[in-house]
Amino acid sequence: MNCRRAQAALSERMDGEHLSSRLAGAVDTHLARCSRCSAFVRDAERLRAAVRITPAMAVPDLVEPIMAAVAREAHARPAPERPRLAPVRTLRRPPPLLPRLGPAAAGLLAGAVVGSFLVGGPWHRPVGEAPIALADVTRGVVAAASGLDAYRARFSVVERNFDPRVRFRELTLNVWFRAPERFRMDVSDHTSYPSRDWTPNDLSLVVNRSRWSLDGPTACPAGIHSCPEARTVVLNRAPFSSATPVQTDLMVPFGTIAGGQRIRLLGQTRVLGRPAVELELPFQRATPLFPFLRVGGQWRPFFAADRVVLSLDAATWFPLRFEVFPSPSEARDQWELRFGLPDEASDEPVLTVDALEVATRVPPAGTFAIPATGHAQDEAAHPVALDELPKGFAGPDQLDGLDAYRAARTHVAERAGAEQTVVTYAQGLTWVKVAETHDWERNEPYGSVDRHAEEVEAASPSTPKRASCT
Amino acid sequence: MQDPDPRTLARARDGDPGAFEDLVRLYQADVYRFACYLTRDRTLAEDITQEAFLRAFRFLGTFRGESRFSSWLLRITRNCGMDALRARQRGMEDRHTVPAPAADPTVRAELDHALGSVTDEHREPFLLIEVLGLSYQEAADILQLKVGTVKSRMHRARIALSRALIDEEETGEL
Repeated sequence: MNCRRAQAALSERMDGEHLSSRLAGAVDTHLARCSRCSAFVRDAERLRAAVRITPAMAVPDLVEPIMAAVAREAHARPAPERPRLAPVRTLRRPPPLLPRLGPAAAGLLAGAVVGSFLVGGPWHRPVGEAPIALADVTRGVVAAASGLDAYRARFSVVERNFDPRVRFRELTLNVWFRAPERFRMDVSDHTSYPSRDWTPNDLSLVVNRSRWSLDGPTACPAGIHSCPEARTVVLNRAPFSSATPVQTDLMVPFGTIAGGQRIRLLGQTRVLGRPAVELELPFQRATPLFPFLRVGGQWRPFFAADRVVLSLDAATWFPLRFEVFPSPSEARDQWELRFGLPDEASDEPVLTVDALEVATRVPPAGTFAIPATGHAQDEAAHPVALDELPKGFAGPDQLDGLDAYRAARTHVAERAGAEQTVVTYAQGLTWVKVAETHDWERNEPYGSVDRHAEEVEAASPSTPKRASCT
Repeated sequence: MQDPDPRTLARARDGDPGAFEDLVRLYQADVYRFACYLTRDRTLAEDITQEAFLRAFRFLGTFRGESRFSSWLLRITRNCGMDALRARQRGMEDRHTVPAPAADPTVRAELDHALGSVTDEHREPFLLIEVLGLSYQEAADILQLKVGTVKSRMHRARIALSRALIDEEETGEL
């Protein structure tokens, strides 16, 4: 195998072409000992990152002028076999979902404001020479908490020491988001397992407003590798349910960064050809970055004190790379023994997630479709039409710039038999929940309040309200 | 790139303006982006996008489904782009002036220069496959080449563009 042949095959493989196992083997053998071909792959991946990890190009809406030209063309045609074209339609913003209500009644804001990166907003940081402080990162990510309407990204995931027979696993993570409350995360497993009996770790989580579904292998006891596939479909999901949150930290790590505790700024660097800011924090603080580890399937264990190095794009705050490094401690050595793991060096990542492609493009139609199934579970958040809210419930049709979005009647988890009516407001990734109950006497919010909660001004002085950020 | 709903496509071919408008909405971003990368000129790309859809409307009756609709549309876009670039070239020769194209400000300057420094033969397959995410077959349909030719041009494009990108970054001219 010569370099020209190897590089041609490597180029095809990068573009998703299937190589025969014989050719793939010959190429990999050549690649392992050829610095020229390794440099070719490295440069080509850098080029790909430079092309794909850029802010989505602003696209003008040309529908009106195109349709006007088409209408002129149609009218000018001598043969009238085609029907006349209708006048050009004008795009209008849909009317607010909730009619304007009176002053707010007693209620609780128990919502969340989540980070966003929409390029060009006030949070967009020009990349310059000035050194960056941790406070700048926190402020940038937090300030980005509005306006992200659509998002698509692809990450590569490499996991070490899943099993003594499988030292490395290679997976792809695809993420799609469309505001509000439509999210999909697919994990595709490309690992070569010792036998066909091993179940690949292919997962798909779809959240689509009041429904969600999860497909993937069920969790198996340790040492069992053939795990049955399962499909879960849930209806009547509560608005912005904390039980099935949209995994927004993959887009902008707001939950991870908020608060700033135990986060260390390592410095500025370049990742995947982009100027980046590097942060360090313990794994237990960084779990929102790894939602795929929690939703299902089979994964290696992680130690709470392991070191996570997170590289954020210095201009847009996209996570470009995050890696988990073993913490050098005796407690971890014992933990390794307990889980049957080999001795893991503290400078070799046990999990690496690299962004391959990030864009603010609208996901294609059907991305968030959840097929009907005969065995759906019911989370019992019964939808309430916004114009049929209970008498006395009061809330504005907008809240701090967010539009009223969806309402439901749910149980109050903390009090058996108690019900509440929840109205949610949303804009991009940002959302707020307003809930009302009729039998609450104490002068404090009822129900759980998120750890990122912040006090907000109530519309009426007698109204206890609270907002939270997560 | 996704395929249109066959019913929408059939209605558009029958002259339903609403159906054609749906096609415009579905593909305008991809058409514009392709035109933008081809010409490195946003204003020209807007003109090309409009012209491409107008030509698509004109010739929709001739679309036989031998390739994907998106490939057919991008082939028209490419032809419009070539026409527009030739017209601009003629205009420049007439005036003996060279107006600088308005580069897309959202694209990294180094990458923009690197893309500008390679030949069309390399740039076009790279844009279609790496930037727009099309398959070799779709790129071959658009460029009217054999798949094998697209593969080898893509390979050479990677080498040429990597080299150009490194040169841009190392010289620090930008």
